Amino acid sequence: MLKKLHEQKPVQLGLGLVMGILFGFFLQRGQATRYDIILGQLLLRDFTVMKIMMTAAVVGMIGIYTMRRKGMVQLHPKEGAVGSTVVGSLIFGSGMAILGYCPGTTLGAVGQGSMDALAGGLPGMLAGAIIYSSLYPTLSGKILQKGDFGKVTIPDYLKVTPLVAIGGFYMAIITVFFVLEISGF
Amino acid sequence: MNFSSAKVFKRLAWLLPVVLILAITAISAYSQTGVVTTVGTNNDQLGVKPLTETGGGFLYSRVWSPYLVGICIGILSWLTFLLSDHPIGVSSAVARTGGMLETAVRGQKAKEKAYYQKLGLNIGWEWVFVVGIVIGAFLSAKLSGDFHIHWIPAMWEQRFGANIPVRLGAAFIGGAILMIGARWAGGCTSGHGISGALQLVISSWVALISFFIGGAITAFLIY
Repeated sequence: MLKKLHEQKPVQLGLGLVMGILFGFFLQRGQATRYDIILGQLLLRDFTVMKIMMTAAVVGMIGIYTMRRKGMVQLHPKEGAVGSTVVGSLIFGSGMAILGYCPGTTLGAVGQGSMDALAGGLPGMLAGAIIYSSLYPTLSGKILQKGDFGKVTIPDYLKVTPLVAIGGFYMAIITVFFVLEISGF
Repeated sequence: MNFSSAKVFKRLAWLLPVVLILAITAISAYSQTGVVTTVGTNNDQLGVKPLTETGGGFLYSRVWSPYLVGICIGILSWLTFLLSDHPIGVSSAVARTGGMLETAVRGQKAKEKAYYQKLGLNIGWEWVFVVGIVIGAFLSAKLSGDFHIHWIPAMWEQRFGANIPVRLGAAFIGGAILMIGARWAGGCTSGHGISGALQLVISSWVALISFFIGGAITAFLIY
């Protein structure tokens, strides 16, 4: 673990900016910042978004788990519960279909000149954050904790080594890619 | 047990990246889009207007293969974990910005909201990362000639017409619903969909599947 590097705040702010620039560059170059591409994915006409995300996942997982084995990185799993994860994600999805961007690609779309993202989506997201902060005390302790399933990872849950789980993902995702390409997507 | 499946897998671990590279090369060759050319087939159907090709190599080509972009983002995630101990994520920084704005307008009362206390309204790694996204997308679009000011996406115009206030209003409402959902679920397509998925976290895979179910239902309802 590069603990010393992680604690240097100015360096981290610089790194965060550079990594954000790379992320924005990749999203835009992959056309994930286009309304038409995102709606095309949701309508199952274009699979660009899924190809990007699944490739990032399989490439990411082998590196992260290899480095974790060597003690170089630690995982940051998120909490999960039916009341928060499932309900919130369904709400998120319907918002994504109306806006046509997700939070990261809204910002990317701003960078490529999409004014609907700058003048509509971005202020909407900020308003949504403020609305959520007002809803939070009511939701917390009631719906958010319903059906809690914790910070578990798939290998822990299935009681297999990470490598077995990753091997399974590789096979599944490569199969999906072949099927997509062969069927003309 | 010398031949447990786990051990066999460990021995063959190096094969995974090799298999991925071979598979992606084969897929790219098959689909004849190459690694760095335009995504072709579905653009006409989507109504995406073809943009002028800008010759002159890799950094200038308008579209990279989604597989190449995915590989780049996957490798970027190694670096964010290794160098910054942070997963890629967007929505919490946007929520912090919302909190800062509310605090600027309403003062201390807003700052004391339980949710903002939980988030911590400070400018940190994620916040500059999010600023970087705008800059990076701008650079990409400028270099490839893909940058242009436009108010209404082509698909939206085909379905709902070219009325700018209608599109902006819908985008505002969609953005609000999107962010309520993202904070409700504890992450967005970046934090859950990319970072959580590559850490093999169950909550993130549940979120990712639910994002697309919610999105597909709504998309099919409005189109």
